[in-house]
Amino acid sequence: MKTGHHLTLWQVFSVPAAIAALSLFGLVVALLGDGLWNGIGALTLGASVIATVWALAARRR
Amino acid sequence: MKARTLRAWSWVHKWSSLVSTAFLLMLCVTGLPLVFTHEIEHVLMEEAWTPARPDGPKLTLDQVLETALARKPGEVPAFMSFDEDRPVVNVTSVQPGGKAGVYSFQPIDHTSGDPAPPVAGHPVMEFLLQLHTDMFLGLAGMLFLGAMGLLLIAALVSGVVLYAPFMRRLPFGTVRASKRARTRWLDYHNLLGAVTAAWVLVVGATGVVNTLATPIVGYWKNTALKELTQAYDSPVAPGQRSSLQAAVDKAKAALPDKDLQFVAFPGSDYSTDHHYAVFFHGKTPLTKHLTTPALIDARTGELAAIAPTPWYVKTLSLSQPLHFGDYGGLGLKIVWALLDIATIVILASGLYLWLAKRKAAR
Repeated sequence: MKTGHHLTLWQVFSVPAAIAALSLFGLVVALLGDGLWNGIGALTLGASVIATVWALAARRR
Repeated sequence: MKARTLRAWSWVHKWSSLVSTAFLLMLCVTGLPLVFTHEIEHVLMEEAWTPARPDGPKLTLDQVLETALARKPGEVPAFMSFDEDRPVVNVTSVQPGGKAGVYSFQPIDHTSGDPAPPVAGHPVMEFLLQLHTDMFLGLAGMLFLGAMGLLLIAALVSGVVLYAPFMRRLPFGTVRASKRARTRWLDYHNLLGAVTAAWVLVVGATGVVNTLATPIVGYWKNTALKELTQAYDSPVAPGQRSSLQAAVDKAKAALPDKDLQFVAFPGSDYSTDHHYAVFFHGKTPLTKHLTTPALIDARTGELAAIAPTPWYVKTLSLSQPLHFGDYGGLGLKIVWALLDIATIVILASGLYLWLAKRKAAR
């Protein structure tokens, strides 16, 4: 535990909320579009996977 | 958060998870290969095949149907569907009054009437699908799994609420890998839960909607399609039916800007006792998933109605791709599979955390 002070609710949820928004965006655009939109959909839904890999590498202690 | 409120959410998270975990694990494990059904069946089943008369005239649908039924004496037709990339018509037939879920499926060369090799419905994939859908228990099994899906949603919402107090001192993504196993797995559980939440919510909620398919379609038949059937007392007998080809042609003329998807025969799940229901879907990525049936009176061959589906059937139609993940190419399927694996880790680590805590409390 790095700090003694508490994170605010916003600090706790800002990254998960951004990932959730990207995921929902990806789920919807892949449904509404074809071709390039499918790639964009997979990539934005994949933000969750990218964030996991990043956390496992960079926030490991 | 007050300690009492926290305990209440904790209770919801614990029990909604404990009751549903075994079933959710089964769903995640069977769901993983099911995401790639198309690719797996392509590898296992695809064989070189050419139609008997590639450039020749096609048989009428009545001829195809007659040929198919001659190979299954005593059965009645339920559905007819059409392959997109080869001239093959698939005829599904059933024993009248036979057991639910028992049917014959025959791919037929549209140019000759010869049997064509199947490209879908591999027994292993069918087994996994059935286990995933209803655990071989029919409607009761489906609704039970729907209830497990509701518990998943409760576990997810309570998990998000509990995430805040656990993460008050930890920046997002912290994994205390050098600490004891309980701490380490709590961090994995929280990290994976936080990043997969939106996807799990969508797949869980659409899965619940899919478990309601039978009551949804039943309600639609008994309300919107009801008035079309009131002119008749008894179901139309096979000998009384007008031409299938003419019915499909009439339906196509009524919906010229859509693609033919399948025909539901009178008395089958997706039609009334008196109509050929000819289903079409749109041509855009979104409307491809939305169907519109044209109902053709099976006695007279007249167009009885174009029946645009009500909102609850549209919801069901859109819940299917959003649950299966099969609508956005291979890239999306791979992400789907990774998130499915992440969910398996969440379920397993949750179970482990509960067991470890119990052991520590003793």
